[in-house]
Amino acid sequence: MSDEAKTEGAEPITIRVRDQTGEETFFKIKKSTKMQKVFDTYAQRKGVQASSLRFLLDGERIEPNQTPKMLELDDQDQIDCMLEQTGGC
Amino acid sequence: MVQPPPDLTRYDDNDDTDSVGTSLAHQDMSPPDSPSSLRAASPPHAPPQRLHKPLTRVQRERTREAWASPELAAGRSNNISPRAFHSLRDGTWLQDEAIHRFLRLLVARDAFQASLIDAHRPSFVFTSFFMTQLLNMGDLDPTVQGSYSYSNIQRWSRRVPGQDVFALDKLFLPVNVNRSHWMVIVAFMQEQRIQAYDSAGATNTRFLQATLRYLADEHQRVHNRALPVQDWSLCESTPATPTQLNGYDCGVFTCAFIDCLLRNDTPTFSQEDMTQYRRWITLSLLENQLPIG
Repeated sequence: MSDEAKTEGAEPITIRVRDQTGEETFFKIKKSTKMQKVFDTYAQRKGVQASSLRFLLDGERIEPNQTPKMLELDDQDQIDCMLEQTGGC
Repeated sequence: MVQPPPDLTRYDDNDDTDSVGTSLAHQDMSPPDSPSSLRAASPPHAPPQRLHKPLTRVQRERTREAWASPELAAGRSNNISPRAFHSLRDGTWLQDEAIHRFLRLLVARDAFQASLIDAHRPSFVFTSFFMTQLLNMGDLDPTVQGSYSYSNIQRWSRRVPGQDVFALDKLFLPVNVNRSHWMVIVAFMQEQRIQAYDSAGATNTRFLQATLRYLADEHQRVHNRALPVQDWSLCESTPATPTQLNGYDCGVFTCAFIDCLLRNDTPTFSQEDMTQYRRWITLSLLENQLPIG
């Protein structure tokens, strides 16, 4: 049984990162991988600074040190990627 | 000890007199010919609102350090970026992270009170990304931008206490308008009223209407019947809503609106309270909790 559990945890899942224009990028990751890795790879691929991006799960910001397992992410789950917002006037 | 950076003095704006000035201002009942043009938005005879306890000398010193060295402040904080602290400096546009992290602390205070008092219904704040997503405001395609999409945020109410926005006292929707302005839409769920609080006094009809449409869709999905939308009223920002007198404080006003309304106070603060309130937000983020008082 513990063998089964182990296999399940090690099996990668695919998550979808959807940006503000609706474009989706797919990532295949292990459930134990820190989301930081996804954020950095995504930012690099888009040519933007990771610090200007916000990754949300059901509206709540994902912390870089969280893992899919902690977030209870399932295969094909969606994450929203939003741009930093600022304002004053 | 870290040496203070050379620009520290930039924020040394009469710090020692600040708390005196603030407490005097709070007792100020002077007639309308004094500098109270700043208080034009307050009812003429109401005592000025106290948003928080005057900061102590030590607290002012901490915020001054954080403003002078955002990197240092970020390093000591609970995972808050230097950019957030930088944006809290006087005269700077507030950034979403600073606002959202502070609002989260306000909601936690409200949730705690709700847990103590049976009659106290909890309130909730969605981040500004809610309206951005609801109205596809970030889409570059002009045929899509501004169009309503319930499916974009359908899952967000899972985070609401009881997963039911209709059981809330108030639902707050801070909005980032055109990447340059902050305001908040407040749904008074039990009074069936949706009102805009905008320190620039702008018209926000599309956000009011989108909020009602969201509630109607949410009601249909969660309660499986139509929302009696005719019972709901939509209100633009009123002339009594405090207004900003500069081009950078709307995010601070937005936080203060939410703070007051969560305490069931009518916002009557004014522009001159905003520098101290920036310090209050800074201190809250540094300590990851609202300072006592």
